Amino acid sequence: MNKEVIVYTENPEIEMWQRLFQFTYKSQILKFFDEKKIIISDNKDDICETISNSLSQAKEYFELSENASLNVAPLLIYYGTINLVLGVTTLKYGEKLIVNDHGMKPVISKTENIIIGNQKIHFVNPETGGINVFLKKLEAGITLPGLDDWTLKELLLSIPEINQEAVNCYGHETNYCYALNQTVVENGIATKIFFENRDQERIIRSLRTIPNFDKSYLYPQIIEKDDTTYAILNRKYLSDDISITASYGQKFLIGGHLKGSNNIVLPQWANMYIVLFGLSSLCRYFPDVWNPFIKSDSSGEKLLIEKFLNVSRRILPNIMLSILLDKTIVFENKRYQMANTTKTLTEHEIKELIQMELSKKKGVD
Amino acid sequence: MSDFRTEVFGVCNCIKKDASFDELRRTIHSLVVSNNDSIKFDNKKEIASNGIRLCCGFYGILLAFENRLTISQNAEPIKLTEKEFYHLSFGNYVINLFVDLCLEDVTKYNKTIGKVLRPYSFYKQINNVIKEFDFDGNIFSSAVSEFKRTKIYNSIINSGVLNALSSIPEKEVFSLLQVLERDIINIPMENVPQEVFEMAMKRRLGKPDKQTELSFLTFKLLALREMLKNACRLLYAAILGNDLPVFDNNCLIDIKNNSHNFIYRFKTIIVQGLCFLMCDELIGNVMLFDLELDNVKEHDFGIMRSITTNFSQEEGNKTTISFCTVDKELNPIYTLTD
Repeated sequence: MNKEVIVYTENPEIEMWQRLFQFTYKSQILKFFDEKKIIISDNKDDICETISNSLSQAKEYFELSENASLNVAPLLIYYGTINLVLGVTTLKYGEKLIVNDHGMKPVISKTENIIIGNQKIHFVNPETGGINVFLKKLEAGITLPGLDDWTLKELLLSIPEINQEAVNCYGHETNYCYALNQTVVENGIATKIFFENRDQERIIRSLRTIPNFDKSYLYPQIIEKDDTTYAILNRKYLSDDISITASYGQKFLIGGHLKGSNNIVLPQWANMYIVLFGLSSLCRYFPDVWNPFIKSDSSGEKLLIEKFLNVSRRILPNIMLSILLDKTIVFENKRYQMANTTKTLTEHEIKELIQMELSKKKGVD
Repeated sequence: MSDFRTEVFGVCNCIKKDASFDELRRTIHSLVVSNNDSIKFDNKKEIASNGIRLCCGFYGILLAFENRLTISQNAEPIKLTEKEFYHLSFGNYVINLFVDLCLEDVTKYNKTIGKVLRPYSFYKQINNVIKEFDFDGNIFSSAVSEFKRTKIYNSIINSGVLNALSSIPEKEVFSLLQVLERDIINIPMENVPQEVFEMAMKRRLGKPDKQTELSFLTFKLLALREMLKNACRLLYAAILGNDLPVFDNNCLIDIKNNSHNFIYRFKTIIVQGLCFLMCDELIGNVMLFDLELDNVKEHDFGIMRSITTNFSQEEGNKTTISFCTVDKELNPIYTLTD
């Protein structure tokens, strides 16, 4: 897990773009290559121009999208995202990437009641398709072309920051985000995941779709109390933390998507990137689907899409900045606080200490 | 090359598969486990459970029935049936046979020491006991040989302490071992009595006086007794058909404490779930702590000294277990006696 760096700011969006924007200057780019000991194989100037231009465009697209309606906002954010990811990936690896197309095609079904979530994405061109090039560089081991199509619904249900809204919209039967409800207790941290359905076998099966779940967690204890069902999770000793932290601080476990014989968890930026492609394709090439949706959606899905766009705008640049710097950058408006290494004892620990001293005294006497 | 612990486990594996103990297993099960839904207080089951709590195997159950260990004021006689008494006596005989074979040479040198080293010798005598059974003690031969090859056993046999103690009255020898058990075995593992500390320091610094050396010989007697006690617990568990409790990666939540002092090496671990043994007590029982991760490997046999179970709907069920490790001779105080 990357080291977490807290940055004090009163305006996270401005601050994070300022940090990204420094890499539109050639001297900063070269300084970055030097510090990270990145050897440039291609023309250095070309690479610097690509990075500078990509990040500049990305910033402008994102800024323009703030005041845009649903008619064009998905397009603007998507193009901003392509540029952002291209700029960051080129900067991180110091090499020019060959990208010929998006690497994806929308598979749109036009039914009477349009459900955006049911629209699919088909992945193509593993070598020079945009998303595939970026995934290969940033997340080795994930190859999407050749696998089954993905629905926008399953991608939206995999994003923790909008999971509540997505579940409200699409139901809880298929969810990929498991929120960890954590409480500090005497012996450490108690972790619970709440479930809507009460079928214990189904709960265990769902948890087993989380990659490396059995390696990191002991067998879940399922409790039914009043009207709620929850699983208590204990981490195995010295096991890796497989949770991800949402932008607002809560931890989640992310379930995998079964595509053929592969159980795939995409990184968060990729989930958002692909959904943005789907939405932008709809608004650009399928106005007969998109226009009725934004004009007269009665399901509430429109609210989810709006929330998704707002969250992407805020989070995607933050995620890419963290990837670039190999640190988890968190923007907060909490003032600087000193680290506190003093220990607070629980009631139980105090009683134990007293008992130990009394036993020692008894032994001496 | 084998060792005492390995050979005892070998015997246990054979006994577990031995169908001649099936009747005994059924007897114990029926004595302890309730078959009906009635909430009526069952005196017989209570006495049997109290016997098990004495942690001295079948001897404890027979003792409990002979002395009517119950809280009930009911004057009704509560006895084992003839069949039950026979089977329990058989189990007791098998364990006693093992102890007899291990201590036959020691008993020849010094009858009192041979008596005091028997694991159940501090308990009251059972008056009513069947003394002969058709059971082949050859099953114990390898374990007995290894017992006689342990460092502790040989240092006692070769030290002359058996002769030195021959003139001391039995009552005083028993008192000596009982005091040692009270002050070394039955104390919290974190504590080291001041006198033991000072003697151990003298020895470590290479300056032991005669009194220290003699004390260490008595510690070795205590260790030998504990080794036999642990072996008997293992045999009892095997006769019941119980598996060795194993705590590994699949239940371990945390290692709270990993310490050692002049007497013990001990750990406190937290595991998920509840721990119990069928017809046996966890405390004083042998367990295996088997941790295998990429860069951490721990494989310790130990004696469970304390168990705390936490039933919580917030944290789930967890058990905190403190145990002291034993060496290849099943000696829990090897840090002191080595």
